[in-house]
Amino acid sequence: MRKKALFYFLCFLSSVFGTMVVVIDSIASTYVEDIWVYGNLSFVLGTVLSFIIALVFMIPVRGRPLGKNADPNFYGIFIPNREHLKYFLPMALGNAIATIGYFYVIATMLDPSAVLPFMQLVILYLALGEIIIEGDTPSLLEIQSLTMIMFGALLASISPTGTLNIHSLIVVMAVINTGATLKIVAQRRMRLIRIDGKRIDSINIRIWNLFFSTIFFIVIIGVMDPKSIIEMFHASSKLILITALSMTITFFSKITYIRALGIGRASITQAATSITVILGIPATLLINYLMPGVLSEIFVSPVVLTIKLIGTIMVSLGVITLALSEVRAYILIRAPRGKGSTILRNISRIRGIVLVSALAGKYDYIAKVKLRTLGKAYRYIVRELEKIEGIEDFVWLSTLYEWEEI
Amino acid sequence: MGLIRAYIMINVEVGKIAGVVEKLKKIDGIGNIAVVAGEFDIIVRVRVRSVEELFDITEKIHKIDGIVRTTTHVVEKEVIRE
Repeated sequence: MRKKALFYFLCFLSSVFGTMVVVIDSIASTYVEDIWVYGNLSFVLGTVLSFIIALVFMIPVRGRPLGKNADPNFYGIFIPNREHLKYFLPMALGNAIATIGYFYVIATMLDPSAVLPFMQLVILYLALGEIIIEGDTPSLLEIQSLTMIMFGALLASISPTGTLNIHSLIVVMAVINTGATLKIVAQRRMRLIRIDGKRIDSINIRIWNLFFSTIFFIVIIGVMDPKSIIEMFHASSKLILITALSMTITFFSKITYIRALGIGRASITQAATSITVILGIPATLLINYLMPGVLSEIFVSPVVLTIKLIGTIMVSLGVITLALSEVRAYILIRAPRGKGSTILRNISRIRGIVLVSALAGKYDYIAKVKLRTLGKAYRYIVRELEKIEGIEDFVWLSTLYEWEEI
Repeated sequence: MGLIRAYIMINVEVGKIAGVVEKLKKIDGIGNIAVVAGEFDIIVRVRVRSVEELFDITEKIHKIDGIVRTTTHVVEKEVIRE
């Protein structure tokens, strides 16, 4: 299957699961007096469930663990070492912070079609982070799409009465998205590094992330609302059932998402999964129809619904534009050998270069480039290559079309 | 283990790139096809188990209508940073 097709399929699947989770969580928040009871329960049950699913994934089928079908890098549950913890702990902390904000927002808004676009605002942080790290002024295209995403999310989150929920927005921007950015960056790094020659698989990432997130979450909530920790043990079986359902779907949503992250860039994966924004509207309408009165009625007037729809379309257009603005190229490099592997390492350190191979043939190295914009970044790479001692000559081949096999 | 990776740079006759790409996609062992602008027209990345297999792939590529020349570069060492 084409890599791109698989990538978008994973993103879509993750979006569908993601939408379902927000809907279930919103419904569940109406069943409890204290949202943190549901929060605590979600984490504790989620961890237990994830471990059970991971154990099932370890069952060998025709000589290989079942989980290999979900993620080819899966070999079984491992106990994280110090090297792993460097990535797991920041990720879990980010996750715990983001989730606290998330539970607060779903319980106050009771409107998945508003919460979902809000959560997409994390792309603003990711894109800004990339722009700052690359030390580049953003292109017009980037400014346009980011502005569209921001205002689109605002429009999509408009309440049935036509007001904007500023309080929730602050929680989203300050708490949820900061936590989510920390989490996504750590998660992506983890997916790409190799420890003891192995990549960390998405299943282990998920279970250990949940395990450490639960610790962080319970500690923070324990300080904020100690009563909820005790109440968690008196939860009704109905609540436990809903929580288990939500956590199971979350598990699959995360696995598909992490798999997609291993293929595409963080901001692009985020972009493709932002289809959840649009899915939020039909999902909320469906619940409004099936279970009237549980969630906020979003179809009060056609005007409000139209504004919401325009908002979601703006968000999608913004993220698609951002996703398509990636530029690829190959650089063929001539550099007589003898300098050992320092040239290889020096080339690989240049930002934007994703793969360098030392070759036997007319050229000595080939470097694969992925850039957000061509102009400035191109000049930067050329400048950096010229600085490397031993490079005699290089040619830049811009990629016009690329096909990749999985 | 024991995988050989190589880049094959291809020059194609004018107007035949699209057809060549479609045929390349069908060859086993080709993992990546990039149509580029510059000295070459197509850069192909292959993963094979042996040099014989690499030879087979090169042979198959040569048989495609529209191919002018191929230049094969075997990968000796690699750094992935994606």
